Amino acid sequence: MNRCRYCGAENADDATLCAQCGRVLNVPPPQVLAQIQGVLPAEPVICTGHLAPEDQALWQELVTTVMAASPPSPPPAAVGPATTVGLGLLMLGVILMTAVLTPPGWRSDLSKAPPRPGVVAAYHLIAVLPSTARVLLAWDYDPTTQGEMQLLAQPLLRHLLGRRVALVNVSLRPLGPAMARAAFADLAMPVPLLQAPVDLGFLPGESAALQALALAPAGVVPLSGAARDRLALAGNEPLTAFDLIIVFGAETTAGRQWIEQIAARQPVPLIVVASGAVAPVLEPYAQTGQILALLAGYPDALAYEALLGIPGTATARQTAQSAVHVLALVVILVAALVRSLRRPPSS
Amino acid sequence: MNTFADLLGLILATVLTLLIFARLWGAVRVFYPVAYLLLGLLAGYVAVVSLRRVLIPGLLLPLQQAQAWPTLLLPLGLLVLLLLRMSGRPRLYHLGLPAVGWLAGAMAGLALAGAVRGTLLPQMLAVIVLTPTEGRHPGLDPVLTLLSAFLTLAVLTQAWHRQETNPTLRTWLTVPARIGKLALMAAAGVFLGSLLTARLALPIDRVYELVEAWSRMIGGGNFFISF
Repeated sequence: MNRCRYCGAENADDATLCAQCGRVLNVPPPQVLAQIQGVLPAEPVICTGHLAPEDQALWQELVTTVMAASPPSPPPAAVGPATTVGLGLLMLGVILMTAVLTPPGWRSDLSKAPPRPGVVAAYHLIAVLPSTARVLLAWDYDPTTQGEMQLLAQPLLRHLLGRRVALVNVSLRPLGPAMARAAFADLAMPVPLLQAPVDLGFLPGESAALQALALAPAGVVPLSGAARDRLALAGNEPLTAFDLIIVFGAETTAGRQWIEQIAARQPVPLIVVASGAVAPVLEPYAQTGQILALLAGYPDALAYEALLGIPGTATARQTAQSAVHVLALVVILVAALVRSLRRPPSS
Repeated sequence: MNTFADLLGLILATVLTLLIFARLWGAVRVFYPVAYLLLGLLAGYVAVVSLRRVLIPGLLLPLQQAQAWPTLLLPLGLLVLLLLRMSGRPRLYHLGLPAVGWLAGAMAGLALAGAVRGTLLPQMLAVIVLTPTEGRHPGLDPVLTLLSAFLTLAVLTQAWHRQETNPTLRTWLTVPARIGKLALMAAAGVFLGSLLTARLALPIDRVYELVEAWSRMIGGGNFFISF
């Protein structure tokens, strides 16, 4: 029999997925390139698959070992099907019903909360940009985190378009250009043709591409005549420096690559817009000043919209966001209570 | 706007979203075909992007120009060696090792140099600077530094406590080990809380998009404003 290392359920020998929890049963051993991210162009596909990365599994094992008060015990009995169905339905119902049926009157105005320093810093960095400034936007996230990242991107894009600066899109992920187009398309304001961003597209090679971009940007992506006009480049003048770089990256690696390969090489103001899940890891870079402004998570999107004075998607959804968080907490507490009550007395 | 194609797309999006949500109540057999469909579409999109934005402009178009051939010899050679690893024959497979080594070595070298220059040195210097300086470095808060040092030691003691066999020493280590355990639990809680908050934005966004799209399709208005 093939035993699942997550839930302990027994499965057939030839099974690849656990019949109980649906996870991968046999994690393949790490290969030569496993630890070198970005080598393969299909990395996002691998990342968005169900297979947990090896380092996460190691981290989980390490924390479990360290935190355990006694030597590791056999995995607990899996939650019964009735409980699983009940909790799953409850969670789904909570999210759907709250998002749809929460009345607009029930709204605690979160935008009045004082913004974090990173939000204020980002706002001022963009507010002082002259109209001749060139701003590089790095789109390094994929559809799995689009819901959160686009909330953060939209107020910044509105602000940048309001400043009438020249925008340049680039991405180290194959799906990045599509994310950029979606972010611009979902803006509640039309983008004038003259302000349409210059699209450098997908640059393969991750760190190597960034180094090439830092050393010889014109050689990495040849610019068309229209793009040169848009960026006010005279003759054969190369695309040398940007007045500001904004990295939209849902993973730690995205922000870190730009810091290590670009910001460490040339003094360029860097704003990192990250998922709330990775913000604690990037915080040290903000504290040392390598990142001039770090924005992360839904509250920062809301705070930026409040600073900007233009209500956007984050403002419109604050009712659902806050209510779902509160109710998700209730669901977690109820689930924990149910779980503890069902635990056998011996444990 | 309300064309048949829009309606069809909206129905498909709604059904696929609900089938993905079906994973929540354990409907694995429904969830996985849809997940594989989405991953397949994603892989196809990535393949097209790689072909159109990388292979055609970076390889095929330069190959048509005779003067570009000398600069393409080395990458072409490495490409052929890499392709040999897909042949399935052991001898040919091993011929591809230099290309893999080149690739891994270059990436590791870049990552290492970047980590030293962009992470290790700045972070260490920021800790070493003991007085507040102008501009970027906020300086060191002595209370916070002592607290951080204590918590770091406590976490290390937690690991030590588990391995220590001497009863007397174990007794001495118990209190700091418990503090270290609490610090670890707090860190894990912050991390998991941030993760949960971040990931909740996605289903909320999805539900909003669908409800708004349906309200536009049916009533031509915005559901959340007219509600």
